[in-house]
Amino acid sequence: MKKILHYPVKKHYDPVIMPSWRLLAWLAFLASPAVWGQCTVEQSQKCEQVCSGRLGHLLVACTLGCRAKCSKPVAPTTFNPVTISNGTAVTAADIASFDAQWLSPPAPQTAPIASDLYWAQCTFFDRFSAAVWGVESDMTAMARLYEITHDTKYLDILRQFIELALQYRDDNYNPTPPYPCSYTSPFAGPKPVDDFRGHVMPGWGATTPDVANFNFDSEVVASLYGYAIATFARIVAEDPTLQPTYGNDAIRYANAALETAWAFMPQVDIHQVGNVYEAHLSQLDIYRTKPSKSDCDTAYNAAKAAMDAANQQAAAAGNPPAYVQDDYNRLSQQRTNCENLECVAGAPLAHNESGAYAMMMIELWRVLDSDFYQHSNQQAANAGLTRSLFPLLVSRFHRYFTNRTHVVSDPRGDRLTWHYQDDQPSCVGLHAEDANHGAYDIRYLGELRASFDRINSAATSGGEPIPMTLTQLDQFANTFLEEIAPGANFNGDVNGTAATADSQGLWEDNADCDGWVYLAVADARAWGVCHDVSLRVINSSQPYLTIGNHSALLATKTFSASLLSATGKVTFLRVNDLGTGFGTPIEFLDAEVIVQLDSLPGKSLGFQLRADSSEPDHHGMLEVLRLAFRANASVSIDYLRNGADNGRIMRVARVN
Amino acid sequence: MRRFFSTAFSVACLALILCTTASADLLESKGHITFLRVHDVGTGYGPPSDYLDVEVVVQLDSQPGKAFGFQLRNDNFRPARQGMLDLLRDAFSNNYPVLIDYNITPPKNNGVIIRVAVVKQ
Repeated sequence: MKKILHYPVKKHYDPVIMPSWRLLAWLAFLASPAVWGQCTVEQSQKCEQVCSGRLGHLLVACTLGCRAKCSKPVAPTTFNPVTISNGTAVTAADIASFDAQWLSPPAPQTAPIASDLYWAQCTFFDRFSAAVWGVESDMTAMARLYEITHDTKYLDILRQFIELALQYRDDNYNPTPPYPCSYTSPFAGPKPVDDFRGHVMPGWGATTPDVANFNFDSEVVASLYGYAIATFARIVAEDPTLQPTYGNDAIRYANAALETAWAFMPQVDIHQVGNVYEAHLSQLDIYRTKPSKSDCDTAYNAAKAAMDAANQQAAAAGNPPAYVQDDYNRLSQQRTNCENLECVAGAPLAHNESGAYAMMMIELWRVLDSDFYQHSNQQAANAGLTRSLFPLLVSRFHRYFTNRTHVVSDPRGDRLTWHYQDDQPSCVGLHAEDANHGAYDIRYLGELRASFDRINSAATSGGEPIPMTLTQLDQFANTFLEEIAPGANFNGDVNGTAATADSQGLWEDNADCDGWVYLAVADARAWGVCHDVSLRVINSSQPYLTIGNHSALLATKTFSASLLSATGKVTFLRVNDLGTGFGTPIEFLDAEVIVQLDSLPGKSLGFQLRADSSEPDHHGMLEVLRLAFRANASVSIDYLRNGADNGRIMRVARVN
Repeated sequence: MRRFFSTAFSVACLALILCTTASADLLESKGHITFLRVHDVGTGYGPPSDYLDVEVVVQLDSQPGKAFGFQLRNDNFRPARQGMLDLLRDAFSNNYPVLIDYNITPPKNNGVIIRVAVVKQ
């Protein structure tokens, strides 16, 4: 059964300052070199090189700051802090604030999405695949805002990103002049071969000293872009009103993401544990022989020579050095990474990387499972097999991950701890999952939870139910509240290791809520913490606010409170045997009386009816519900949210 | 080689899917109540080969020849069972349909109810 999310958004707000087509025209202008392309090729590449060792929002902040030094000067603007209204509903003011911050004209400097589109093309072209940490965040933010507002301007922007991504995917890479971003030549020949896999990949390759400057298509880069592309296709596939306009693109994108998913399937490692299966992505086996130490040294020496030459040139011109000790240290680390590949050959990739692949599978499966896709004459030949396979793989990926989490019990409540990666050879030291990668782990959990009913049903039909429960989500939420965010600034890992502020006094992990905030579904306090930290104002700026965590806060606002009330007529009233309960494992109600209201479609509320001290009260609540059902009268119910859609009833009253 | 691997992987996965079976003991029926009975503990319902050790028995117009029941005893299950009976009585008195979930062992005709619900038409 298809599940439709209902966001309580006011339908007829004034969504943008100008009509969608004019906004897009604006974005096209803003995303042009005329506005943003003031950085030289050398300056742009330096930013990429300097920032390449950073991940997630850390890379975004690094590249933004670096490029700001060479982009067109930005006129000073009045600081208007982003705010989010009280309550669980996303309001018109919330959306207006988002638009003003991230994509509204009139001033280019207030439209980061436009600059991001420009730089996305530059980085796709010059094969700086680490840009995925910023570009995918933009793409997913647009998908979230579309799902909240149903305003197609967000889909249109997402589509622009996807077109760029596919244009420069390795199996399509063949740029012709004039080249973007002032570049004078491409960064690879047409359709470059992945030097490790031996063929052209439907992925986004890059050459870095980490892989001895061979062309390598990263698993996590492909997974995150594949996820964003599949998300567009899923949105369209599940909404018939979008299909006349976006249907052809959705099918094309789904098939493109399917190619990406299957290209990395040889690295899906499945193994039996008892009578069940686990799965994860693994490092390439070919690392045992490639790259050699000599390959790594050669790449290192070439990069170091280039840096030395740049510094000598700068010194001759009387300028400060182009590269400082941190840059040399980073290069040394890249050589070490390169040399370690031999040791990690065939070992599991990090949990966040397998999680990203699982996210892509989940979105893609929903497309393939849609009537729209199944009735398309453009569907891929392996769509049927994939439709059967992916729910099982998602179940196995989830089992692998959760089997490597451990419950910590003490007076602060049950919570989970886990490593960044597991089952590694002795050359790899295991360490607690850090806050930044942990946010990606939780993003995967959020993605799975949002699609859980349908994909778990399919996995269960295949004999492998997905081992996700509300208790598990509660424990992850407690990890966030007790270990990551117990104080004013986020700690560094899931064991509560303290982080440190950077040289400017900022705590980088405070920007990690795109991910952790999804645990609000289990504990509303997670939303409150993320709201306060992400929107914190410091010296007339909001340094921890990103398009990712802003959109995630809006997407989860419905979970920002736990005590809720509703009024409506009873459409369904059930009493079940003691202990049989109601609902899926991620929102299970351990209750004997279940009620549904016409005002809460898709949600179920319940209470226990047992031989205990509450029996008289609960029997009375059932009486009220029975009488209201018979009389077709309205009832008012106060309840504690239990997962996304269910609630535990505290009070029942008849209101007419 | 890559194609061989992918094909082999696909076949293996498909085999794992196709070799799985599902249980079918828990069924759901919807209908109007044509018969509602409550009797003494231990007297039960049905022939020895299809006996229900229950105190509440109900029949639906949509399931002719079949009967469904549950126990109503002074135990931990009593409050919920009393609630289930209350819903059945409401449905019978007001002639609206009920939804029952029950465990039944084929080819028997009598099953044990675990859930009773009323739904707005």
